[in-house]
Amino acid sequence: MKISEIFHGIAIFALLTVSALAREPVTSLKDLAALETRTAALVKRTMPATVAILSPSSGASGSGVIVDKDGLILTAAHVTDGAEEVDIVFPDGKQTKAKVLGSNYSKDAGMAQIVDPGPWPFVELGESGALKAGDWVVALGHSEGYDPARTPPVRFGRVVSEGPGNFLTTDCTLIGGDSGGPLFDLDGRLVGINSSIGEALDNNNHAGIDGFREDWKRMLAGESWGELQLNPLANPERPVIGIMMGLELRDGGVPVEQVTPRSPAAKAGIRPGDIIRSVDGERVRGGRSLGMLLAKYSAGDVVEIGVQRGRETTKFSLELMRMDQLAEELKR
Amino acid sequence: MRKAVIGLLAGVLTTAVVAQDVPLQRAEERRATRQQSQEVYDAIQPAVQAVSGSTVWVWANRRQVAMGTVVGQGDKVLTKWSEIAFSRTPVQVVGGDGRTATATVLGVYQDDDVALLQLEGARFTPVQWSDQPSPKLGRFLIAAGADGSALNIGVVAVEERPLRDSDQAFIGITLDPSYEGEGIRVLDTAEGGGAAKAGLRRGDVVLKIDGKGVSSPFELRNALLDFSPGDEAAITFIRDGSESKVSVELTGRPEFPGVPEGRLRTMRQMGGPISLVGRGFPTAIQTDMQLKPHQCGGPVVDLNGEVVGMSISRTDRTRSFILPASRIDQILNEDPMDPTLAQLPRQASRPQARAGRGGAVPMNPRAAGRLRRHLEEMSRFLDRLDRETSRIGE
Repeated sequence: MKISEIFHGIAIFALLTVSALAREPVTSLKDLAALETRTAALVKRTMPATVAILSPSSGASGSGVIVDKDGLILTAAHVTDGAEEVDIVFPDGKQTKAKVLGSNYSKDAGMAQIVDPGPWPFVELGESGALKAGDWVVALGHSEGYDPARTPPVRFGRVVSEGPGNFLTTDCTLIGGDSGGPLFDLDGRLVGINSSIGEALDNNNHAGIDGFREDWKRMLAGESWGELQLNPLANPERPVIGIMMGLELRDGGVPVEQVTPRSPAAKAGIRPGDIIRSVDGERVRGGRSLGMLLAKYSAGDVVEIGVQRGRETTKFSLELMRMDQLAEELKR
Repeated sequence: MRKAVIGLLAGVLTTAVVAQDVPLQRAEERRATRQQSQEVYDAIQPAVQAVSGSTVWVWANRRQVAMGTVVGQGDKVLTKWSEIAFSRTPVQVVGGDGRTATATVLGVYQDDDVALLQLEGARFTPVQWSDQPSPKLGRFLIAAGADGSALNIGVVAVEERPLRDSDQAFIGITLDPSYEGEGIRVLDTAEGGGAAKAGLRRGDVVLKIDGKGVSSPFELRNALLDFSPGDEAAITFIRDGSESKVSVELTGRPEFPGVPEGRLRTMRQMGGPISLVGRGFPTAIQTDMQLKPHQCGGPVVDLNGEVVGMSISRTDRTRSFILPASRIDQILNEDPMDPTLAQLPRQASRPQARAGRGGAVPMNPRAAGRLRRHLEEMSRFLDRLDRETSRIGE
């Protein structure tokens, strides 16, 4: 008895260690076989909760994923946009109805609730903030709409880029109809919701699950807000430091023309006349570059800004703030 | 060898080498993913090693247009028919060791878009097809190159299934969308369909198909997936308040020439060129493998090096298709069609699908049109002949 308890203790410890090691190196067929086993297992477990969402009003078709036994569905805001009630189709063809709850369009995050009582198949939530380039992930979704002749196609890939903000980019190829579908880590925990694609095969964007957590209560209560914005530099929730930029220097430095009161820059002691040189060690190559570098972070992240003041170069630690929150703050 | 792998890496897996592909990707993220790609390609190489001697490059019109899989006694090759169909030059086959053979088209398996080539001048090692069941969801698949490298890796995205509507069972009823409640109400029956022949009619409420409850159009389609055209299905239905049962002989689903809306069509081609013929195969495994059109036609292995099939198309942004080993086994036992009679499936009439591959449009379009009309007439004639001879047989 005692021995078995200890054994269990060790087993759990070992499992947790494996999960905590995010970027698993793949250097042999054996490593790949381990990835394969986990992929096949997670697909089997999560597919029953991966639904198609049909909007009777617009005829649009997307995907979603159930996250509790009562039938709460996470999806993309643009899938349920304009609908009050949607048709839900399970991979086995079973059909039911869901009421659309709230959405945060800035995060392309949406919720819906299946009307009939459960229990429904559901998936566990994971964390998106910890994901880094190279982490293996699996995307599911009803590509090109629900097709009774096939199950929702599996896409295996990895994170290729973090950000903008709460979003992340993977090389799991997506197409119309996949929107709102789930992105899982290799433990089968939900880490993102399919959102948009760019031209390149590895430009597939997903809304991170951490962003859903932040807005959970408001969305559950049926509140909808924000703005659907594919340009990260125009997203109202983008993280800012709170400066007005001057004309960029020929060497790429960005002079600070004004510092917004109560902003992260003001709190850190950045002053007009300072020249911004780097963000977490990455060199700033002009105003757009500074914007793009910052867009990768989320509000609340602490970044180190390299600043040239006169001949001295110093580093300031700043906690990034959301653009819309800074604007709110200034109104007070 | 090393060089070849890096070349593939740049071209295939890490399309992000150009910075603007993923606008926000940081240099360190790019480095990390590139290194990871290289590690993966190094790791999968042992799985394709054994089959590389059975993998060849296929050349037509002085370009490498497809891969080929060696069969027979090493003197025959299977490749993708639509990639060589319009070749103005003799088709050539090149092995990883540089040996070259001239090929003539022995025959065509048109439904599968497969050509059987006879080689002259060199022999290679015939492939050993896997006798295992078709790979399951989430299993890894690797496309072999001819030089011992791997072309790409992906997973089984959807297990083997028929892609043609005509291979899917069809009952022949339209449903009443206004009906609510248990079962589905028949609005109309298709003329000549199984339901009409069995006497089902408007107003009947279908409850079960072979004991499986159906309450929505999707559940109906799903229940029918267990059947093939020609099968009998027991239908439980209600008419005038009383329940009865009838046996319906299912037919094949009529082809619905669906043209995807513009946005979807654009999305399908986002991420690179796609195959001329990429859908409608009698049976195929769907994978997320990111092949290029000229990388189709070669063997596909699993992690154990078992040859599970042959890549047959880059269909769109998210899909490539694999012909399963069992299907190839089956067609090789059938007589192929004479290549002069074979026509290209109708998708091939869209050469604009090849945007991005200049010079890829085969033949002059007017000549192709004439040929196609001629072939269509021919095929209608053969169909009629076929129908009439089978009637005689009855």
